[in-house]
Amino acid sequence: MTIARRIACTVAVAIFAALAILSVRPRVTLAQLSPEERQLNVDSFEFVWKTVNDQHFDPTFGGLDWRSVHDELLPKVENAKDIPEAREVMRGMLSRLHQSHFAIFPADVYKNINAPSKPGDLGGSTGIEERIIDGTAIVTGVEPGGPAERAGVRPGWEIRAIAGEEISPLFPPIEKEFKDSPRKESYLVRAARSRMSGAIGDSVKVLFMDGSNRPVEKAMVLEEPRGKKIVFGNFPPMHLTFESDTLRDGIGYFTFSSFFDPVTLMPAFNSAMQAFMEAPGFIVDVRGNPGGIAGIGMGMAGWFVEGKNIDMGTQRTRNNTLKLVINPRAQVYRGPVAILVDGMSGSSSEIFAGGLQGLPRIRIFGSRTMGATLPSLAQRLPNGDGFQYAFASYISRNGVELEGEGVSPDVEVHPTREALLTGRDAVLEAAVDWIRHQHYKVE
Amino acid sequence: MAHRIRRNPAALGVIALAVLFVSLGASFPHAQAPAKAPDADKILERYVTATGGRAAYDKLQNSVSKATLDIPSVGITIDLMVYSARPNKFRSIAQSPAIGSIERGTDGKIFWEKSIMQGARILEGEELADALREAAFEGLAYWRTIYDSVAVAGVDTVAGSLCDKVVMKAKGGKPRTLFFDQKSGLITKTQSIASTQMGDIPIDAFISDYREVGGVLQAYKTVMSIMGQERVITATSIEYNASIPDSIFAIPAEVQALLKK
Repeated sequence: MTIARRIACTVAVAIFAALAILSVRPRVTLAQLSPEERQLNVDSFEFVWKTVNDQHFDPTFGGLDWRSVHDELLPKVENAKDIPEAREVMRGMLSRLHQSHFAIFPADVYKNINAPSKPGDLGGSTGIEERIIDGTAIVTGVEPGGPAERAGVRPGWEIRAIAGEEISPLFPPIEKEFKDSPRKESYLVRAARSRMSGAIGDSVKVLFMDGSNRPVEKAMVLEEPRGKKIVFGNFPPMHLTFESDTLRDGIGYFTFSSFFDPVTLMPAFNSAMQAFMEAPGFIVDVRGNPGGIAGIGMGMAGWFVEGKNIDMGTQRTRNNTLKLVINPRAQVYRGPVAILVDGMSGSSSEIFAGGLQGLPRIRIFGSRTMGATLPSLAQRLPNGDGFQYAFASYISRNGVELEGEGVSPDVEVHPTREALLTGRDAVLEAAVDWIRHQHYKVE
Repeated sequence: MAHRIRRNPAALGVIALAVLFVSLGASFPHAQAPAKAPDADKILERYVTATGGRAAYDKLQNSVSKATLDIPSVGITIDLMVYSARPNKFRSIAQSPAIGSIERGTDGKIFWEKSIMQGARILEGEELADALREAAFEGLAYWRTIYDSVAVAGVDTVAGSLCDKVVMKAKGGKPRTLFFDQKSGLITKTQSIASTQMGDIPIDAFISDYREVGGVLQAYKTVMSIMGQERVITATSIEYNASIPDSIFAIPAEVQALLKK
């Protein structure tokens, strides 16, 4: 049994990383704005405000007086001394909506976006996948061949301190603030991960507690994440990885880091489905997958659903409701299907899991997802920054508005440090165990 | 004649982009003999004449068109290729590195769609009826063959010019409104509701940049507003009476596999 390694490099994480980088390592030289630059910031502010005003799926903005927000914040943009300050005003405006998929990306993200990554570029990573388990940051995965693996870091190790700063004190305030929020896990992980992120080529020293609880310090140089670099329109670049595997008893397994690049991803998934058409079960692992193009999830779902006009939920804009209809493939897999999720599964991962939950033969394992499911778009602003905004809400096929709620798994299973240290994946094991008990066999 | 490029974004395969952001289903006007609407009749006939006249349309047997579809709200551009032939054969291929390919087509009976994201499907119901109507090569040149009713619904201003509004309805279809410029007689705007697998989607399309190709006027630019999002289709080349292999309109293997199910 293998533990899938995933690099979460999607829109949400790219945003987190970008924000984290800005907070940890300011790169912008502060300078007075020219009148033209100032005007571009104002134009950008107006564009952001008007887009939300005209296109937000809730014309009441959840009770927020959107016009008053504009009038309050416009002077702050007009008087911002630099672009980062203007950007923070716009981010602050969007944060008042208390919804996901509203973000401002720094213009730097688009610099040489189509060129190969090089030292100094944003998005450097140690290759560590981590989760917060019982109040401590635990390594749950290590990218093969990445800086952490080469340094000898192993799943199950505790991340005790980063750059000399203990990180466990970061978590209690987050736990308290977001006690009941499905996004709690993502904020906890971000608190740790942002401190291990930076530019490609940056160094980071991390103090671990190894499998024997001995302190071990590792110095790592951040590298470009593994996988194919994907540029999708106005969204920040990300990296796609995917993996197919055969587990015990011939159970099929497929994992992927984001719902992007269908040209690469879908042939791989389709091949896996064809190869596992007679498998006793199939597992789709979207833990740590922050989402992407919902259509990819619908296409994947078509392998598991036979009936016509079955939908994965609805997308509601201000004036329209659209069903996300699944188109069954010519040949459909008829065995049990387990979908693995966790608190870092977001957006299209949630639509995929929430859209299939409750259908025959499908079961969701893991922990509550992020609750960040709003369909969104991204445009460039006059000042060069990017602007992501949600234009619709998503209601699962079970009638649940997943934004702020997340997908609750059918079987709740959490990773444990003990299991990770012995190379085991408790969530995956639970899914395999369930599949084995279904005794599915092709006649 | 409303050219295939701008006629039906749904037929162009971009309807699948609904699952990205918004669907682009837009049926373009097909005209039908009005029960009683001499004014509408005159407006439509004037349009046919203004765009070249039936004699010119009758000389056209097929078309091959290339265009780009820009989606500013995402920041991607999609290349479009559209093949169309008498009486009602059609195939469109939308392609982009970001989303792969989305294809749609018909042999006149079966209307299918396939994409790298979602595989293949066969259209049904109202969506099928709409798509087959859109695939009719003659289009507005013979509007009487398709629409049950045509009626003038007033006057409106489009891009600063007065336009006659004509509401057209095919049997079983949803009404569509065409805006005919009073000076030129050309269509400058359409309003329609696309019947799609996902649901009904209202679409406004603004049409411009008419150029003569093959003896008829074709619009080279269409700016669509779909649920508040803008899409711009710009034709780059249009060729009539081209050499189109029969295989272009053949039902793809993936669709045939569905038919056998």
